[in-house]
Amino acid sequence: MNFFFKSKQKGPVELVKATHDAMARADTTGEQQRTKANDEISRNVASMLQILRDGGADKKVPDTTSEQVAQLAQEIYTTELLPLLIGNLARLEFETRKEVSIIFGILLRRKIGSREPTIDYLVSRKNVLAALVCGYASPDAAIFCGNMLRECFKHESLAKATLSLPEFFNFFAYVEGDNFDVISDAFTSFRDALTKFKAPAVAFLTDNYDSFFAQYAVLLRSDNYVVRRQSLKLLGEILLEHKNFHVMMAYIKQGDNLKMTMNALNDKSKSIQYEAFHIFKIFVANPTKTYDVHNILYKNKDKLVKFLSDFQNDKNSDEQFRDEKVYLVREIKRLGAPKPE
Amino acid sequence: MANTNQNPNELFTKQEKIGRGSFGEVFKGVENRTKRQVAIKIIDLESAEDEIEDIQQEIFILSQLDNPSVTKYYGSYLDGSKLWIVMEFCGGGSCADLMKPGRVSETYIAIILREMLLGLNYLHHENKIHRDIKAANILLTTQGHVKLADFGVSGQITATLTRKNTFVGTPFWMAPEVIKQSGYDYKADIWSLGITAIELAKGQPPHAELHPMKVLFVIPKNEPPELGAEFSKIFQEFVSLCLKKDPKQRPTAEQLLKHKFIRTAKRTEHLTDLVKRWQSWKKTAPESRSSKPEADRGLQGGDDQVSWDFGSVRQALPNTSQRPAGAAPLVPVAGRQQAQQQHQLHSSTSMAATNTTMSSVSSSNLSALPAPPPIGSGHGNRSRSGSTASNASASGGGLGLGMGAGNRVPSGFAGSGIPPPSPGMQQRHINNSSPVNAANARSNLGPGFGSSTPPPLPGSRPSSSHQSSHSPSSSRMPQAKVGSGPQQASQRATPAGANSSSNGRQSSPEDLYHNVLMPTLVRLEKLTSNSQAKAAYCTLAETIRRLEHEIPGFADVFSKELTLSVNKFYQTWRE
Repeated sequence: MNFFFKSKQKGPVELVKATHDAMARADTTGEQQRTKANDEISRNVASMLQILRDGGADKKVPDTTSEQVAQLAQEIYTTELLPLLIGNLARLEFETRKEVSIIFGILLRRKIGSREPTIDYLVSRKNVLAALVCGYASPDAAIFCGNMLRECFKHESLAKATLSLPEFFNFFAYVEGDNFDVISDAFTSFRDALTKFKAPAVAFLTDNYDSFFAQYAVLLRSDNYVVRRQSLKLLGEILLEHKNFHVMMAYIKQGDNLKMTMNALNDKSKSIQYEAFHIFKIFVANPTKTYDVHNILYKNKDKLVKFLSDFQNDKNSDEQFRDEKVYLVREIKRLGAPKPE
Repeated sequence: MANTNQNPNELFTKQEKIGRGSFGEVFKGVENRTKRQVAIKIIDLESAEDEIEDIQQEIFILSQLDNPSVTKYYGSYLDGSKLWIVMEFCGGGSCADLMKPGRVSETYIAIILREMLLGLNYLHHENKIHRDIKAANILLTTQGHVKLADFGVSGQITATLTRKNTFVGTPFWMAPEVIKQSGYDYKADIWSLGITAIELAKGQPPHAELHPMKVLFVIPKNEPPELGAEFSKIFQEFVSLCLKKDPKQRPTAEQLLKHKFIRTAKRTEHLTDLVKRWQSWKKTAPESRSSKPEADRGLQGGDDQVSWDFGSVRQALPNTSQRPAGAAPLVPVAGRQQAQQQHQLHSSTSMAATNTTMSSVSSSNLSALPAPPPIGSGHGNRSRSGSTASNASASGGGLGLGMGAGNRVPSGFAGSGIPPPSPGMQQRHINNSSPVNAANARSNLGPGFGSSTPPPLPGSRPSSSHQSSHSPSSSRMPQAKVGSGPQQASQRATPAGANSSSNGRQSSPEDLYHNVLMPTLVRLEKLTSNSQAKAAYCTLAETIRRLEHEIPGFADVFSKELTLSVNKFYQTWRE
């Protein structure tokens, strides 16, 4: 360690500037230079975190924060340090990645009176949110970006802003990636974005109905057991969300969706069958079935009755489930030939 | 380490089974590319009771940890529905193993405790609580390095939620505030560390002779356990510092590292003595390894053998649990093998490598406790309850939706959902109007939505479904449901308690406690839907009321909050 260097404590402005400079140098080709630059970034990030902690910004009620904290936060916003750090997260040290996400969290919770400056900043500069989403492309950055993203999803305005990003559709690739840790994390964020705050989620699903469900259908057919099971479950949650009523109505009109559901109902995995059951029942319970849907159900009437009578009877101790099956069987038995529309 | 989604069978060579951890079985293995030894936990997600999300949470916590005092996580791989969690292999056994050949002296205990404190200090600074600290979860490498393992129940404390409110861990090692569920923080690990110190010194934790459920009474009520005069003053002092009943009085890991008992501890390498002792003991004591494979199979068959589920700890219950607490304590037995079994009683084999003996012996000691009785309607599947919760409570008014019987039902169709008896169906259409509207507005989905907007969400969750039954917009049928769900539940609680007692005698407080109250509590944590929680609350209220009658002051043992919330709930329901 360089003792002379250490003794000279950098202020917020210098720290942020030095980090920018080091990041620029880290792009150079020399291995040694890159390591040195990386070390400096690590040191600076640690110092920034220290300033925030010393200034009381990590306290539960971060009202009484120091001048240093305010200066640091301001500097981070104006120099666009966050997108830079987030975009380069994968090349930073493990501990530094973690510290960046802690700094992010502290800044996010910052309040000045009733103002939440970081939230305002993130809403106006969507590139930060976009960088967080894109973090899933790198396994080394993924869990930290996921962490920050989910912190954002605690705020409706940020959930809304994220849903409006074109990058949001990247999630379809991330949740079906090839790294289990990443797909787990990405799916958690994906679900949070679509379920946590109803209003932006409903607006998003309504505005993007076709493209969203077209891509979602791919997840439902995934070879990956976890992806298939979790996406079925999430679909159930989305469709049965009261506020998504018209999304549900649109979904259960389409015969293809029913076919997908019936295939999943017939999957060899009981858990997948079970998730599918809770989607299937919506199609059947719909009193205004489209011709397609009615026709598919009608054509499979006898098979469905038989199937449902035998369906997962080990779960019959769950009254709810048992009653639902009885109901479905009765409804399907009652189906007459569909009338062409 | 790149963990591409290829078949883990090609990346690793799986070797012998070395134990059971939270969520699954643990195997020894070798990474084919590097030839390094690894521990592999394999979980069949298809048969796991736990939700994938719980398992992902464990992985998430693991993947954020990078410290020499914590077992290193290498990656997870999916093979069909089987998940392989690959971790650092610790060949030196667990601290519970190291005690098998005989007592561990203070000199070694001090080293182990220091290393544990280093791990806890790291975790706590990372805002994580281990929640299941005990000798069996402390692993050693062959070089004598100490690692905290098994994060199956670890919790993340977030900045906004600093105190956890869940009931996890293993009874003997649990801090009073964890048992009382009054909210706890990282100090709970410090208590468990103190208990582990006693365990290391004496061979077993305090109250080991008691039924683990009874321990849940004893810990909050009694004075903190003490180490005993046969140990050095300084060690006694260390333990008493950890075992302050008031968590605020307990020092942090950082402070404890400065305690004299810890500061004067020797270098870690000395622990290889213990590892060697255990390894040679294993070799010279083949009879003690008389594993009983049939017991293993019984474990998987699992019809008559139930292991309690405290959150997510899979633990073989001690033998003692089979006897009523009033009966004689476990007869002390002579000989090394028995002594070993005694150890096994309290050790759940954890992720990491110990030996084959452990799991087989402990599984032979699995108790045959009766299965927890059903507690009201709709408990068939947790997953449903989870998702219902998000529907019912967060939708800003999924009232009709949530209150039926915790169902996932299209809100628009019936308001109360499937299954609607056909006469009721019509009425509900009128009341709830959405299907009718939907029919009118088939091509544009708008109007139906507006008119089906539910009444505003009442404040508190348990009572919300209640208020809804009085709200004019909800239909008659759901009201009936609301009434009937809990009623059935509370009616059921009685026979359930009675069934579990032998020969039809009046169910004893013990029976009620073990067979109704605890399973319900454990489940309650997982239940978030209105109707399911309601049913569970009713069972709890009824059981606590009856227990209070038998054992005055009983309700105090549980946190005031719980009792209050149960009473409040109970009242609302009766109105």
